[in-house]
Amino acid sequence: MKPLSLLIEILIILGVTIKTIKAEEHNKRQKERNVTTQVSVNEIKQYLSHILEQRTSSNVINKRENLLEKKKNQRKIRIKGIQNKDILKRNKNHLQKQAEKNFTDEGDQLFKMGIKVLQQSKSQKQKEEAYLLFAKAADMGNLKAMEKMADALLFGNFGVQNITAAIQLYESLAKEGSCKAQNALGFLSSYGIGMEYDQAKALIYYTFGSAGGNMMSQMILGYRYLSGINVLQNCEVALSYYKKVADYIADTFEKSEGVPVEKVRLTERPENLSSNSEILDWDIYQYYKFLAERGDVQIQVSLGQLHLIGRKGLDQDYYKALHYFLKAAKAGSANAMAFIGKMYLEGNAAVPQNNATAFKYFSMAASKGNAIGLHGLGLLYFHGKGVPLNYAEALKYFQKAAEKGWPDAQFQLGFMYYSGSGIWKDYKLAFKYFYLASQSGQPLAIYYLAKMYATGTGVVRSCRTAVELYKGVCELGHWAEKFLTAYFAYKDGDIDSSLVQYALLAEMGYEVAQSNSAFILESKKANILEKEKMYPMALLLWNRAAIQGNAFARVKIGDYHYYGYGTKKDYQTAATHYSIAANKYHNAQAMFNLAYMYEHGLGITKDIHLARRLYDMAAQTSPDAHIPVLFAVMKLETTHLLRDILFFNFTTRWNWLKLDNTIGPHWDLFVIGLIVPGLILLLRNHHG
Amino acid sequence: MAYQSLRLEYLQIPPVSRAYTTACVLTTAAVQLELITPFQLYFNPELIFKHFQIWRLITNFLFFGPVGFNFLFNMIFLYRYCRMLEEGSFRGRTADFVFMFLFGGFLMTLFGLFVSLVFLGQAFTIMLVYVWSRRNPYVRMNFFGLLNFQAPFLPWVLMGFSLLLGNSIIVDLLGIAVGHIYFFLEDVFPNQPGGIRILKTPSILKAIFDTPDEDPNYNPLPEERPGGFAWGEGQRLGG
Repeated sequence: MKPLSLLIEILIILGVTIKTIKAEEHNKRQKERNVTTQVSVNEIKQYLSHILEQRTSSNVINKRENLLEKKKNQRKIRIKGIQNKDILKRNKNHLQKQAEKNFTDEGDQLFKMGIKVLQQSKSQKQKEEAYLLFAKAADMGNLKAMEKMADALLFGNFGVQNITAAIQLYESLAKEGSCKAQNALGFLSSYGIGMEYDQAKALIYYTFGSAGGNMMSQMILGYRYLSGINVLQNCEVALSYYKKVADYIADTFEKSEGVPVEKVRLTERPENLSSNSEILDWDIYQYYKFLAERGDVQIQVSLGQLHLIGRKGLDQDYYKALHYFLKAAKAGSANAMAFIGKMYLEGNAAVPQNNATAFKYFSMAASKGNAIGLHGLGLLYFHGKGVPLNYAEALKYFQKAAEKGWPDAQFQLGFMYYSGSGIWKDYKLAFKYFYLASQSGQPLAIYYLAKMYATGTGVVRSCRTAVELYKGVCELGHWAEKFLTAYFAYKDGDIDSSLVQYALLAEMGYEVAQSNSAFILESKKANILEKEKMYPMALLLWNRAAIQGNAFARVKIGDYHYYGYGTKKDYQTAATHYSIAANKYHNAQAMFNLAYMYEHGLGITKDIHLARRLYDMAAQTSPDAHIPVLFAVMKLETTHLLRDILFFNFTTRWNWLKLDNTIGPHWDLFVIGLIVPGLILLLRNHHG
Repeated sequence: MAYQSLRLEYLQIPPVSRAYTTACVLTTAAVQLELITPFQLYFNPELIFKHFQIWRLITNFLFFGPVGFNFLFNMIFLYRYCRMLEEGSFRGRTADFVFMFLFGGFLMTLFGLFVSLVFLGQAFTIMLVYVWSRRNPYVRMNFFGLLNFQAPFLPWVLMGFSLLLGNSIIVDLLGIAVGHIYFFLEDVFPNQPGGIRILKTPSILKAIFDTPDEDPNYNPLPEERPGGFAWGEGQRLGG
């Protein structure tokens, strides 16, 4: 039914379209003014429309509509020719303005409709329909729709990745002041994807994108000033950039709870195929579903939570969430009752917002001592929803929930002490509660902690700490959704699409994306970069990931210097990186590699005993290292034994040489000494 | 040269026992090598009837958990009693034996729809043990040198051990129930006054599995008849 009604709506919109000769004349004039730009833009638009419309049958209908319109217009023109010139001129002006207005309005309508479809979409097919609408809106010059189409081309969504076309579109958008396009061009310049590798130009694009309000650019610049990438390290500048983005995200979280996105590490995946804990396999999901339908209460609550926020690769589905929570609540689960209360408090597609019902469910949960229920009651009293506003009561409930370790309640307590709601301001207590909540990853608590460090409220001001905390908050933005699309693209074998998305996230400072991008580049399956550029770029990304504390990346840097990938062979530098990974992060692989280098004297002084010690440490650190260490130690001992035998042989040979030197000059006397006794013995035997 | 005798030994195992045991071992090996996961094998009615993953009807009987004590214990019992049944009361009646497999499997699947069991292989083993023990009622058994009892009590002893080890006894009860249904319909009911044999092996199974008798007038010795002689030698287990 939905596709049919959608098609009908499209037809209605098309029917309203007025395309007159005047509009065509207007287009011609535009073409004359900007021949080059307009031609390329038009080509791209036609290309996009052609691709997307191939998938639908509305193309035929559209053509018929156009033909009918043309015939009508021709008739109108003939009629107008009969009238006098003055009236004709007035009509021309009026029609021209009307056509322009209709043209713009239509584009806006198509774009808004596409956005609506995209927001409500649950399937890939509906998203494709949304982008079809965007394509039509882009045809009419709608800037936002053009941005959407350019992104789709760049990231390869919906099976079409065309970086060249995306760049042309971005460049025309950038000239019209689109900060999104400027950010994208900066990104492409930074990596040399489809464009010349140019860090200076990238920085300029990012600066303009940031000035235009693009939060990705602000995050990228914040990260660059934090780490000193292509700019002087400057904590205060980084702080100002990160703060802008964090303020926006905190504002979003205060209105509605954010959805954390799973970040799959590609480097871990090949070794643990059956224990991927980030994205739920379909088989495993079916198993949990099976157990939930059979009455496993804990799994019902877990599935309800996953569907409520759309985690682990599952769709956000309020109806399913409610279904599972109700089942669990019927079986007496306080957790489920609390979550149902939460759903009623917030309101969504499955349940209407209802304070009284929320209060009922929270009370049921709280009476069983459930922390979420207690927190829910606290919220109701704090905001005066369904009950009279009562800060003292709210404080009481928040304290009970906080004692049970619920991070949201800890944050609320911190906020009450921070803002002085119903109690005296107490920055030390606020800090304490914010800190407790932040240990559990509560985003708003992290934000307020960062704010306190940034302004020196209640704690000694620390720019570095504030920036690190703000960065953590910024990384919770909706752009992190690209982790999911990138991962699924990688799993489907669409390497280029995956790489572009991970690379953009890496540019924004995500450590997981940096190691994932490096991992993909290292495998050399991508086509968007030249082969000889891949290792240097991978090394650069491993470096950034290592600076952010990734031990695996540190070992990789060591490997690159050891084998000469993307850089010159340098055993000494390799040993340095292995040492850092071994000593600071206790990485077994690094210990093993370092032991090997000590054993053979590569880049460091040969030291058999230290090699043996490091091999043993590697075996202790990781069970996986037992067998390699066994072989390595066997080899070490065998070599040692052979060396001992050689030494013994040398000693024997030396003795022999010494003997020869002693006897040599007087060999004749020696011979006589042998012959004379011989003759005596012979004569004696002859007579006897 | 050694592998030849191993092969001969393997081929001497009766066909149904050989096929079933081999399938179990290969399935467990595949899971151990991570070629497949147990999530692709277990019994899930929704996946079977809605997503048409028909193989689950069979594979849930072939997996006994990861390699370990539990797996070995089940395999030993399965191999031992399956073989004794096929060489004993089902000698020359392979089709009947296969039909027992199908009947037992069908009944367990039916019960499995209402019980939260995901792997039915263990229950199937208990069923085989039950049928064997009922058809050899006078065999004396010795468990670890501590327990002495006659064969019909063996399934209940196993259930007791499950209870002691803290495992669920639903599996054992299911196996005993299905085994008893088969035993009653096959060995008890037809011999009662007015009783008839309900479980008749389909002709197509006979045509496939049974080999033609060489001598139509052959009269089997008492050892080969169902139930055998009325006496039996002692059986040591786990000693």
